[in-house]
Amino acid sequence: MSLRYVYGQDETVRFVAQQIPHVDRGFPADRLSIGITDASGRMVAGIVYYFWNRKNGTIEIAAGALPGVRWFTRETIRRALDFAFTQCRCQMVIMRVRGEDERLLYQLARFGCTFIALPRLYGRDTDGVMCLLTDDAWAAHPAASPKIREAA
Amino acid sequence: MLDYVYGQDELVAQFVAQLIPHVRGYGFAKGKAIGVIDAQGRLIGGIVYHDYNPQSGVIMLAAAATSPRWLTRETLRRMYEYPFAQLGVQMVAQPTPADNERLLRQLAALDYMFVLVPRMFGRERDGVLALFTREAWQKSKFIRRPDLRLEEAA
Repeated sequence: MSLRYVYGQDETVRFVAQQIPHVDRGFPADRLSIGITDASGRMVAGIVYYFWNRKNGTIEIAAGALPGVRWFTRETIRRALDFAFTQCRCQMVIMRVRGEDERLLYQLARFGCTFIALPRLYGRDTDGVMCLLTDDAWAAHPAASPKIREAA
Repeated sequence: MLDYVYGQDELVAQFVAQLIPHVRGYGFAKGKAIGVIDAQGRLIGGIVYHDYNPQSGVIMLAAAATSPRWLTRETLRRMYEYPFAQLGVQMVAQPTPADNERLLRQLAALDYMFVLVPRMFGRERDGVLALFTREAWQKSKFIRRPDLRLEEAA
């Protein structure tokens, strides 16, 4: 399937919030986004960046997609992380994930994420994981763009 | 003698943000705040609650002051009464630089649990996510609380 990428649209933010059960109050106002559409222009996935702290060089990232759509391609990953590391010039990307979401954690582990367990992040009986991906770890990954690898 | 100001969320949030280097220039997301006033009517401390998530029952807390006299038992009581007794959250989270040992000692005394987060405050600066659960608040010997029997019966 041919994917297209749209930047900075509010529709993406709404789409991602709808896909993630624990984002019931939406995202903070100063967020950024990349929407992913199929060839017909239908939004199939989205990535939202929020809590961008320029001083600390950190940004949080959330992603959501329609079920059964193959959107998590190498190109999507490259765009998603190049945006955070090259355009936003962050030194670390943070993603909060439910501890029970083993499939997503497995995928994130493959990119060199460091996992920090956070007790009760999603409720008294639901732990979370803070997944940290540094620019160094991403630069060492084969999917990173040559520019990032050189910068590291 | 200290006094407490409610309903001046933006002003207190700006005051607190100015006192915390890693927040200065960014501010907080919209939320509630409590100001602490000294006998001369000066704002000497503030507590900001932000990024409240009712579904998970977690809220972020930030606090800062220009005088050590602000941190009384009454201030502590009020600091945690809003999130735990009024909002009913199950946990308060407070991101703190790992090198802020003084604050971490204070939080440890209150029975916070600590999670180390590498590079949270920059490439060379780790952070600690300090977490204070409802159960820890209920057991804390330093913090006065509303009558828990009444709270449970409600």
